[in-house]
Amino acid sequence: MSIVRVSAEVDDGIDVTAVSEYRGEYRHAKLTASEPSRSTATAHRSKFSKLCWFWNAGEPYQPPVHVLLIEDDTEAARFLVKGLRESGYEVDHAADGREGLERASEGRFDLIVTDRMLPHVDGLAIIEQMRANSIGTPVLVLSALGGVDDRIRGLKAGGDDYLTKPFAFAELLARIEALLRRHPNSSQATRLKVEDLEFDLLTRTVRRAGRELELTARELKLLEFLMRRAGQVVTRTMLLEGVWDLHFDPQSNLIDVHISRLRQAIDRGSDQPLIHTVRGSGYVLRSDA
Amino acid sequence: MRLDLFNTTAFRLSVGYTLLVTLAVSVTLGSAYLLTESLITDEVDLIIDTEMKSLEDKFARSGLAGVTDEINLRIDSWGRIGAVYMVADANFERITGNVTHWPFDGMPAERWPEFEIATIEPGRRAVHPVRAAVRTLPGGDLLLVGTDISQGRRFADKFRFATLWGIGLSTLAAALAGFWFSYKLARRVGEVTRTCHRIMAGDLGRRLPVAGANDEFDALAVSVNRVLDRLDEQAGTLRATFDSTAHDLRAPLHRLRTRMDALLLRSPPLEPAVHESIESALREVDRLQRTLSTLLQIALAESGAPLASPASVDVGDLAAELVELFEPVAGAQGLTLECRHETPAIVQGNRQLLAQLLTNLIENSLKYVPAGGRIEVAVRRLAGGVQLAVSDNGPGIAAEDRSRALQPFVRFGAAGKQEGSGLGLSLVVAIARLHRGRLELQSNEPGLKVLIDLPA
Repeated sequence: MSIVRVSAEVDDGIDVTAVSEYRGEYRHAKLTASEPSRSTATAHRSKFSKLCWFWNAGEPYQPPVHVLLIEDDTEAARFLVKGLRESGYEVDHAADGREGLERASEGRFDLIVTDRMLPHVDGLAIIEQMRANSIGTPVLVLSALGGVDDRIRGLKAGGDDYLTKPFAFAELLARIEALLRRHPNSSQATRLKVEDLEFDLLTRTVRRAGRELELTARELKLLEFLMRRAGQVVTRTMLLEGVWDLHFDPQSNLIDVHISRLRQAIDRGSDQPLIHTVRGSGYVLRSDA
Repeated sequence: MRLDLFNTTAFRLSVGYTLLVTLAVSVTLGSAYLLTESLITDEVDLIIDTEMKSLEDKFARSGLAGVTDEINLRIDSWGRIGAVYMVADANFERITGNVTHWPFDGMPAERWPEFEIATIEPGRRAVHPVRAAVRTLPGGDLLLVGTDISQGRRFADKFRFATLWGIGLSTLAAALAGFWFSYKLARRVGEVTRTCHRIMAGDLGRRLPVAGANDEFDALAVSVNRVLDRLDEQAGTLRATFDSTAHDLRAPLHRLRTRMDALLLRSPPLEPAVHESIESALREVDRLQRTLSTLLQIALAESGAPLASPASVDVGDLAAELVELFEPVAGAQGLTLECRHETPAIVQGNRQLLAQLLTNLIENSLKYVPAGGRIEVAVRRLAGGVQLAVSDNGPGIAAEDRSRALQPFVRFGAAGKQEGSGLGLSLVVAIARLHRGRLELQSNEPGLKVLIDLPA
């Protein structure tokens, strides 16, 4: 059994919901409390999720990931907070730049998602201020400004990723995941391995079950990108940006065709496919289905 | 563009000015020279004529002996300096005079024949030119009267020398002054031109230099700068309008999308039919968003802002990469997509926008060319830049429709069935213009050929 997500909602009272999955079957559990405050909700949620994990003995308890969302558009923020909580994140919300900067400066968040245009203090100014105070929390910038240069400016200011509004929620989730799992040292690895798929980064050769595969330079780059993020959902735009360095969306289903070619090369003749399509999001390279 | 000094108005004007100065000086000094020379000869001729007359009178009064005496007297005692006399018989044999022999071959034909006498002066041999007149005396003897004209010649030579130098020096001075002027002018105009190019290339904050000399160039620079300030202000307003428009249009789209996403992620999951219709609505939202993005990108490219910090982009390399990216999709549609490129083919620009330009052209061909067709992307180096050509053998665009095809929201053929906003080529035009490129639609016989010349 695994916990899919735990979320808390503050209305008149507090509803803490947990969703667990066991052999394809989803179960919902709900805890209701009457004190209408955010901190008690958080406390209940974390207690509840711990309990769930203990019930599900065998897997270690992982503390929830703490995300700070700085967004002045209250309606958009409400949905994002809800969505992120349902995806298992603990979310704090700051509604303007000043509050955002204050909260971000606490340095206790695992990740910050900030809008770019904010009242009082601009999103990029928040990042600059944080970096100046050596707070290295990864930051994902959301922006309604979609120009090529806006993006570059956002990344130059110290943002770790940039997403133009409107975006698919799945895209946001995938990018948050990618930022959280980013290991600065993984770039020094000389060999990537997922199950029986091995990628020797020095000789640029790939073996599946010991048999060497013939891949083009671009397929190698694509596979390397996927293998470095094994187990994470990688979206089409992430692939376009990471593998082709293109920061706009071509209309055609380009990536699907490239992935299906790679999939043929990797998974053909194997009873255990490694490249999986995640409906509505993208792709993931991992061992189990 | 570099200003060629030899191809400026200032240079042409100064060449004309130099020619004019040369001509004027030549005419003035030349006529003075000719006038002086003829004055000198006229005076010599007058002297010779007078003496000739007095000797002829002497002959009439006292015959050949009288003339001979007179000549000897003049030679010995009071004769004028440089005077030459001779009396010879009909056979040109000398009778008397200060010339040793008859200087001509027989009788000279000219009225004022000239000859030379070699004399030995202390320490050197000298040759003296002599201008003379010859008369036949009534007895058949010949009388020659002449004058040493070496002094006049020297004067004339000096005068000529001075004249030629005068002409040469004034020409040189005029040419130097002209060159200097045109150089100065070309430099200031060049500065203006270069600054204007920088500004056009996107460095919108730059202004023309004002030297402070308060001259016509400063006046021009000040007015141009004022125009630029005004444009800058407008561009700033425009940019702010874009930003707020982008923000105001994207924010509701974003809320809409987020809400719909939230519905899809709901647990328990929605009914499949509802799920599906929300998904299709989401696709429409995405399409709307793409159109909006393209429009904003066109507006942004037209504003020149994205080239504020251009980088070197190898268009050949970029074309190869994009063809490789699109090749599988083309293959799946039964099309051949090929790239012929020279590399490096460097252009100063924005890589993302150039990639977008190529993408739009390739996608355009993918959209219109039927299965079995062929698309070719070619990149060639030209003398001053790079030529990019995307050609296909699809239905093409009729000659009369070509200029219309570049306008926004124009689609051809079974447009209703095609995806896309009809903005693809407009964005291509805007990006090409941003890179100071020239775009041309041609017939590929059959098919469409889009040619873009980009300056390096």
